[in-house]
Amino acid sequence: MNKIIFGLLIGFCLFSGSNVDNARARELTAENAEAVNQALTQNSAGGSYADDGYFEDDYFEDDYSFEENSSKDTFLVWNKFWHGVNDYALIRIAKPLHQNYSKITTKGIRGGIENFRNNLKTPHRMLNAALQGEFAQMFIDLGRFIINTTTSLGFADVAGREKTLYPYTPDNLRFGYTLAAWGIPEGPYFVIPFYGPSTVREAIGTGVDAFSNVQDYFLEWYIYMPAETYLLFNKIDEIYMPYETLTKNAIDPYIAIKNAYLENLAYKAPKVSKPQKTLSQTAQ
Amino acid sequence: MIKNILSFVLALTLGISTAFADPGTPKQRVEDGSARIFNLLLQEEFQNPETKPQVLKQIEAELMGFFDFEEFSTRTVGPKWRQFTQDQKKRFIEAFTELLRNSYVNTLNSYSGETLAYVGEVRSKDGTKVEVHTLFKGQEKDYPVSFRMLIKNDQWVVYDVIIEGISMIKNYREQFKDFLVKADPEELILRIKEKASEKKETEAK
Repeated sequence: MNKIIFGLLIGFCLFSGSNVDNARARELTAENAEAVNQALTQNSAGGSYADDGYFEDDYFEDDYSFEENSSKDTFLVWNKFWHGVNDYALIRIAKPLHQNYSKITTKGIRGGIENFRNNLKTPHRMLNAALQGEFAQMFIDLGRFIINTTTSLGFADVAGREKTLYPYTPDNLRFGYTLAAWGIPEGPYFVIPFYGPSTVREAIGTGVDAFSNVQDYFLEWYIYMPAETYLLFNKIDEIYMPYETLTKNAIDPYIAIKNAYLENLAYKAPKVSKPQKTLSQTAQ
Repeated sequence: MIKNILSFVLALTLGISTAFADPGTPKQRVEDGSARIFNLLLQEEFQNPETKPQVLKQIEAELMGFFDFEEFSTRTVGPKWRQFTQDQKKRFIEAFTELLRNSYVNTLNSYSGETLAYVGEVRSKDGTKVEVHTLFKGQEKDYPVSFRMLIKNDQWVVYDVIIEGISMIKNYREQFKDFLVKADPEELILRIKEKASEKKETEAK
């Protein structure tokens, strides 16, 4: 019986793997880009003019006052140590393991397993959506969970084939983003052991998110710990490939990764529109 | 005689048109530039190991015109650039160009028909700088890529590439800034040269 179920699962993976996932990811980025562009081009049809200071950060004539914050490294010694350990674990251990793993699995299987992992994360995404007041996202997530679980136990992203009416941004449904949306600053750069770059706020977010894994409450730790590690390992190529691109040509890999992480975090940060802020301030 | 006049007029118009060349729009520049490079990459000659070096040379010529490596260099070093001697500046640009060249050669080899789609742009208030937003349509995922451009020699050239919010210039500047606190320009040039040759060796293996 178990064999049949396992066979079915593998079948699902092969059948519906990563292609669906890709199509969805493609749409999502396109939507995001559209949204960003709309925001940027509100003023005129052919593009817009930047705010003061938008291009300032590339003026080499400038002094460096604008970069002071990003250069502060409160936990420098800790960070550098764990950066070294994580680098070793990722490039010397995880990468060769994954390269062998890629030989015995297909892209479809890995994509299917990644879909399964994403489906498992539904409770924590819904929780964060609720905490952010993003109720539309919450219901989209619930809908996706029901569709994907009933059709394929989560191995296929069937729901992703349909474009949602409301833009669905699963990457933002994490506790670090929720805290950011509440106006909590990101805090200093902080490298999490065996995990990777983070900031104090994002590290707290990652910790809180770990508690919202429902399966952890009814499975034994020796089952869910290795299982979750495996699910993470399954797509580790998506981490080490850009990581290597960044570090291979860097004269200081630690700073290259730190800067890239912080810049990307700022890029993905909740866009707080200024007029709204002043409105709520006057209301208080 | 008429022939002479004609050729003179022709030469004059050609001269004028190059002297007052219309820089076009940044959008055109990005679209034309990327299309030309992608076309070269798709050529059969690029797959053939014998003719590949020639195509690579053409691609490099395109890239050199599209990206401004001098701007890259001055902006990554920042204010300390003024402390560099003329000779150091020249050698820095050479070394840094070599380092960047190594990083994109690998990317070129893994090209498989991806395209670049124009999304929009933002201009600085005086209009001298433009950030062109595009979407790089990858095999599995799309990546938002922005090009910061300015006019140089009557042409729009790229002086920074921003991928998913990560500015290439800023990333190197952070590294160089930290390095230059402890070391002088000469050591930085040496370090970049080392890195560039180290990269080459690993690729040759």
